[in-house]
Amino acid sequence: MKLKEIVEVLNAKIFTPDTYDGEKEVKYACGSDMMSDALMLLRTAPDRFFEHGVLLTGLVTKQSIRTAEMLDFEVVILVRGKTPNDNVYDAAQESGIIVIGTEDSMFTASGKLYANGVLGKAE
Amino acid sequence: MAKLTYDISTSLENAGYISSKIKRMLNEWGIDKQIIRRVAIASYEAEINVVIHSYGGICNVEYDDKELRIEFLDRGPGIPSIENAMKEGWSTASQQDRENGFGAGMGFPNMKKAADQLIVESSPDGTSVLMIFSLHPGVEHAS
Repeated sequence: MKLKEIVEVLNAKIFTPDTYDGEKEVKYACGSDMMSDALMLLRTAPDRFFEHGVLLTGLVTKQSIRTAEMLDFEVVILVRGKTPNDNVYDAAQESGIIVIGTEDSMFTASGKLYANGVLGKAE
Repeated sequence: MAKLTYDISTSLENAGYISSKIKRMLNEWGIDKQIIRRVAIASYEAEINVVIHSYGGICNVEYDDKELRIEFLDRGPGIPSIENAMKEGWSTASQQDRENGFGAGMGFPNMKKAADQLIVESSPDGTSVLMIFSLHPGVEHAS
């Protein structure tokens, strides 16, 4: 999926318009509110998972941005209607990470992406 | 070996700042991406541990063209049981830490799997976490 299609499917808000790239191709996703779980699960994933991957999370702190940064994810999708504060926004800008947000729950947002061909694992 | 030292506060707001700096430095050196990711994950976990579990500390980064050594030193109160801390799912993190996305009990297991070598020493006066990484691409790390 292109990121602009994800924005449409999730009826998402774009929180970082300066770095937003709607043409970015998204093939993989990981969803977690526990950052250590995301770090553990993805430790051995291949490079292409991160180059074309997004992190879905309901954790809206600088730590979700930092975690994405450590993993080389370029996109964070905030679920459950979470909105980043100025500190989170600044961290995203500094790291060049695109942040979008949806009112959908983690389950619903993940289901919509999966139904559109986004996978949880790079085969 | 060249050496850099960073102070670590106990503010979760800034946690990850040092790991981010290390990661950017390795990117500038053109190190293999998989190695950078392992370093970033291990360093970030160790940095978070100092922030949420200790009274503060420092991080020493030493490197040459072959090897990177990252050491986190804190001022206590120490890890009650290193053996338990190495187990997946074991954590003494507070409810607040969990609300911030940590405390899954995966910190040390992540560090152990991501680093080529992990050496942990702890007493009530402080904890030392030394992680060693080979910077040579293609060299398999034993996990």
